[in-house]
Amino acid sequence: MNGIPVTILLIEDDPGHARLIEKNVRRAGVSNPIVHFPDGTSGLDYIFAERGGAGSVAHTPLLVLLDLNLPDMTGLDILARLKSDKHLKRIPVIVLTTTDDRVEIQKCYDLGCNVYITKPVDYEGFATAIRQLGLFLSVMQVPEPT
Amino acid sequence: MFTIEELTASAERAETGQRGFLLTGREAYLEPFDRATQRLPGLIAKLGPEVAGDPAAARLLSELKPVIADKLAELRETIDLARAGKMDAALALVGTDRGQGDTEAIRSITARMAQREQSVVTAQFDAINGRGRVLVLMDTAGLAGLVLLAGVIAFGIRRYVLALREAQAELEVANRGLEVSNANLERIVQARTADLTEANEEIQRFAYIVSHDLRAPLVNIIGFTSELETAAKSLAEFADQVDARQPGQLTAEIAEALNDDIPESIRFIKASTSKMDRLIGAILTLSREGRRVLAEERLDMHAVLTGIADTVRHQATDSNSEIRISEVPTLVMDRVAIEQIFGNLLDNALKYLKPGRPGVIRIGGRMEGKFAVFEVEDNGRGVAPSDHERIFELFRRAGDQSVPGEGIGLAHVKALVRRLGGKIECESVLDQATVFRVRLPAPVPQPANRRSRNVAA
Repeated sequence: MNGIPVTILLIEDDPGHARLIEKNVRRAGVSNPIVHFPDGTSGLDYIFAERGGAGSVAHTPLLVLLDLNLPDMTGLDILARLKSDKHLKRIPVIVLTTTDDRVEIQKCYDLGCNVYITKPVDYEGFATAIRQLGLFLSVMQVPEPT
Repeated sequence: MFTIEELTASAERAETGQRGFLLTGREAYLEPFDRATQRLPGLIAKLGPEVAGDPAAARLLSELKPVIADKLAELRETIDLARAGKMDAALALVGTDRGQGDTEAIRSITARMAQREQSVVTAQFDAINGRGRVLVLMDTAGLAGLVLLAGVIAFGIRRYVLALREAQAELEVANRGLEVSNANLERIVQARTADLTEANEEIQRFAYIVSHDLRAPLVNIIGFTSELETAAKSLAEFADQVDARQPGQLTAEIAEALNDDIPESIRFIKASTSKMDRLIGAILTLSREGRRVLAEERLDMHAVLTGIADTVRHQATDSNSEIRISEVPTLVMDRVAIEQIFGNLLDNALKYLKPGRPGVIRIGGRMEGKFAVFEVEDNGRGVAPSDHERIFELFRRAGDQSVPGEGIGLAHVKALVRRLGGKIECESVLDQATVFRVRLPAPVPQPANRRSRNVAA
């Protein structure tokens, strides 16, 4: 952590969910910049532009909060793209989705997902989960960009 | 046939006898004459019937009769003249044309008669021959007929044999056709099964996606309702503070909105969203249950049922009821599915007991052919006959709604039972008792060599 704050990339197609996630992350005292993308393409474009441009861009440490149900591609596709890239594979990815399907969860971890969180429908649970995530984010170490 | 020749000969003999007598004067020569003259009338009489069928011959006969009579008369006259000693007169008579003409006439007529007779005989021969030919022809025709008949019969037999062969061939074709159609039928069944499996999977996916996608907006409704609630609370607190500091500032309307209307609305929204969440959760559970891979194992059903009864023991004690489990068949099935089926049925039985009547829940079972039949019987409030089907439908409940529930349990049970290849039915008398009968395929009771059954996905 050489003074550059970690940017939180939120790839979430539902604006309501994005807002609720942001609100609760902030309530947990996390003040890191949050960039929201409503679909997979714009999210991936941002990441590859940030990291792919032959060392021209000032590298920022990233953390991705990923929804699995996106309009243009599945979160699993994004996960696979990130984790198969030798420069991007260390970026922590937290999958945050409505599904608690066992097979889906296994797939995510197989692809290299770091944390899998189910969005609880009961709001208190949801808020608590997000706040805990916020606390987790405030203490976790994110690897330097390579 | 010889009568004519005899007649001619007799006539000649009579003349010969007469000549001999006339030449010698001896009576002895008259003997042939006498014999001939005696025979001639008989011979002529004999000819009558012989020529009866031939008019030409009859005509000749009638010509012959006077000539012979005249000849005989001439002969007698000469003999009488000779006897009387008038030899000259007798010889003179012989020398006349009379006797000669008669003899020639007799020869001529008899010759014609013989000819006639010959022709008649020939004709008769011909006729006989003709008849013979006809007969031969008829025989030939008969033979030909026989041959034809034989031919027809042979043809008939041949046709029959051919028809038989044809029928056999047709039968073989039909048999092959049957085999083919059997194979086709099997293919069709397989195709249909595949279609059904696919359709079933599609429904599962559909249920999953729908429930999943319905959940996403629900998260927002619930989330922002909570945000609203928090904000409203802050406002209400602020209003209280303002009211405490400066009484009269707050209108009754605002106070009512902040203290009653907003919290009430939020309560209804929350109750509805949480119900909706439970319903979506139920669909999700059902779809997940449908996709779950079943793991078969041998289940000592008495032990399994006792285990389930233990989990609801406290409910049973609370409602002063008892659960009795008797002898039940063994199953080879997915344990989780079986536990969910009987867990739900037991839970239902306890939930819908008749208030004020101690509950008695009996679980029993027996084998019926290849099926194990389990009965869960209670003495509860019962189900009206019109609801016996309805209670198995998702989100549908029957009777008094005093007990909370979403109408999911029995729908889930039915789906599970069906997935295990079984059937469930309800039998009930309102206010008296209810029996849920679960029919499940059971292994053939051969513990040493039992085959595991494949459950269709």
